[in-house]
Amino acid sequence: MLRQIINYRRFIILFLTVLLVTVLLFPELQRRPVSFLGRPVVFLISGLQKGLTWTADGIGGLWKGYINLIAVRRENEILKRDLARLESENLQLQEAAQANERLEQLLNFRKTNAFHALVAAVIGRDPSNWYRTLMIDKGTRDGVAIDMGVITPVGVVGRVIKADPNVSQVLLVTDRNSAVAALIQRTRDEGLVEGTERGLARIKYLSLLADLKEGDLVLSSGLTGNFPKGLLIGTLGRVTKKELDLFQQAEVIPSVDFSKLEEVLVITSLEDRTPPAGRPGSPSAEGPQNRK
Amino acid sequence: MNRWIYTLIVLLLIPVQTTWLQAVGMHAVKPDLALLLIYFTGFYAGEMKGFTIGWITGALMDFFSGGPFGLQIAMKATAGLLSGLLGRFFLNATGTLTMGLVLLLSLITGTIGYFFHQLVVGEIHFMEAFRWTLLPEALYNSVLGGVVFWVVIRRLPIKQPWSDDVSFPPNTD
Repeated sequence: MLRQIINYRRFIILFLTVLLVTVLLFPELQRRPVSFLGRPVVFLISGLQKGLTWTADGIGGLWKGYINLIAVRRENEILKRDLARLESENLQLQEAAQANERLEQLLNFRKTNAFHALVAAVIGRDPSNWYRTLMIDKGTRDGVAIDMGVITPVGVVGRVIKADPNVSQVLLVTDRNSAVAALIQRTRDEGLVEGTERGLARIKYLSLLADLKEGDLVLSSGLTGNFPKGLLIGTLGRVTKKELDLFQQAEVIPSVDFSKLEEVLVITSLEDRTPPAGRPGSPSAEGPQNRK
Repeated sequence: MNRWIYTLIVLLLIPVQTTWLQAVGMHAVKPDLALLLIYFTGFYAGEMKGFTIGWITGALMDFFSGGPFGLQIAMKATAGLLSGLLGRFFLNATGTLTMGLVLLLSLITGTIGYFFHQLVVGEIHFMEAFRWTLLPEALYNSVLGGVVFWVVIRRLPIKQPWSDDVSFPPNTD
């Protein structure tokens, strides 16, 4: 039986798989043919993703508004159906009101900041547990490009790592491959915020002399090109300071709840949006703001 | 299973994995539906079908994952081959055995993924990855695998095609 299982055909398959994967893993090949091949697939499946995200709300409304009422007495069915319909409509209205509120917050945030930003909806997340990414419904056709910063009014979300014509992928600050230049607001010490295995973040390369305290605010320092200076990343958690280490590091509790993200802002340009000084109606007489 | 139904399942799998499954995630870890599909395919239909489904779902996952292209193909194609081989050793699986095998398969493919990731992207501490990603995901997959077995597979008239060729105890005539 063993001989039957371990025959040469399976070894050839295994060998070809390993060979193929090794070839695919070359960085140069990662960019060209793969992205060309992947576009139609991404287009098709992201359409399904948008549909599923949209229907999730509908199913939730149906559950709350209708299925919960099935158990009630039969003679009240007509009345309760009306009630269910009204509840469903009410839920939809509430949902729309909440969406409006969130979008209004995003728009106000966009207006009060000098950089150019684009509102995008979150349509999916990483299929594996190895990476922490989001899929958003804006792509290169809307002006999104790789390495652009992604934020919410609450804080930094991450940066764009893949941009297709209609959708883009955002690497969260909690991913272990992410790195954002940051500073501690109170002490002005600079460091690098990286993701951890636990889905949190930590700030590294902080001076041993830095007087860090739990709860200190961690802001973007603007040294990496994709975020303006002063955006909130999170607050300091436990600080680790060892005698022989050259630097100290600390946990960072992100200000954004990534599991509940629905809309984000993509920073398309850090250039100042305000009209030049001296022009009538100019709100600002200062030079460009939020440059790195 | 009908080829069209299979195609539909595979196509719907990624959107479901990337949208609805977030709601059942615990500590940012969610079950891997693709691995379960591959396991049941390989186990009940053989390593070639397991390998093929593994390759296709792996490629689809790679398009939507933040990792390098090829990582999920390697993990899922291997999972398909291994589940096919497991299916030849174990006939008439029970729910408990299914849970055990899914746990094992999940840990093996996770470890393969870890080494590929280490090779391509960079350093991760194995124990950290094991504690926070590999083990929770394997446990989650195992429980869900058991549920899928008890709720769906057990009720379907599925039989391993090679089960008729083997007699227990072995025929010594």
